[in-house]
Amino acid sequence: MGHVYLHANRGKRSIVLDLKQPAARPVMEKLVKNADVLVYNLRPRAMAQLGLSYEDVVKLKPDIIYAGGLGFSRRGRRSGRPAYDDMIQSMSGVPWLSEQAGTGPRFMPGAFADRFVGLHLALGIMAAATYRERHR
Amino acid sequence: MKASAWTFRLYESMVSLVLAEHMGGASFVPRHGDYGYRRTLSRDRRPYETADGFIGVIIYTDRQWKKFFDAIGQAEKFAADTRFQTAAGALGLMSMRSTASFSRSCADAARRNGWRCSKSPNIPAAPGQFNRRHPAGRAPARYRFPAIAGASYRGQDDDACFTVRALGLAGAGARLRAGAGPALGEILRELGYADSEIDALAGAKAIVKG
Repeated sequence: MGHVYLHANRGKRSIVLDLKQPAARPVMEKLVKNADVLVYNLRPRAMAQLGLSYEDVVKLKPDIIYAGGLGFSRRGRRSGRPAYDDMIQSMSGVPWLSEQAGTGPRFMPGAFADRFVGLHLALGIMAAATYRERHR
Repeated sequence: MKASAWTFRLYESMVSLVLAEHMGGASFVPRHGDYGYRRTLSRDRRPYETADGFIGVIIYTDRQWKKFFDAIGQAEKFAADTRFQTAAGALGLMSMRSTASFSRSCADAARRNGWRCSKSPNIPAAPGQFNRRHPAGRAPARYRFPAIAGASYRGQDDDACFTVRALGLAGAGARLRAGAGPALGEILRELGYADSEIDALAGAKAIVKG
């Protein structure tokens, strides 16, 4: 297990399910029914193939907050394409900034796109949780 | 409802953001490696020039490596390189520091074969965005794969790890232990599973015990 994962997840509890195994399905359903939030970073099509689309999950937990960390908008032409930190840094123009600073086109020395969108994701979930509490 | 007060600190926030990159293999006790996350700090982790601009590529799986080699006309290299025979070997290539000459030859081959951002194979790749292009549509090409053999992340135990030392965090990784799902049994028991049922799930490969 990588140190980045461990740094990001220290203090949290976790389990590992192989969702392609049929026996894992009831475990996942129990987890969802006991959860406030489901966060995923698979592409939406993969989630649907696992039977975990929003429509699937909301049947299990009607007030679930279903949050995805995706590479691209689902409404844009890149919808459904894979994305990793390096790619998003490249597309968003980070290397141009470093080029202007005189070091040539480079990425920021860390997985900053991953973490930056993670912060936005957490912020959005907090807003959704507040909204849910106010409209119960 | 009670009021509450919170503070958000620039310094501690930034230290937490960069801590993983600083700690690297020193996150573990015993250490798995040096301070500094080799992959993200590698000088070779950057956009590469193609025939029509720059491209950011991150290749994870052996299938993606095969597509990449096919695209740059080096299929025989893929077949001959034993590092691609295992997923671990392919993943190891992401740490380009030890394979600088390899990545440079890949990049050179990509240029020679006219690999274009706009026609990249189905691997995780994306064009770099630059706001200046010359008339042929190419991004300025003044950064052309300088000598990178022997490149290393310098200052691993010196200046680059100043935050780790300044905050006395050298032992911060002491709690980290490599393993998957250490709370697996605890969580499943909370969901109502008996130990025998947990064993059955493991037997069915539905769960992975750390």
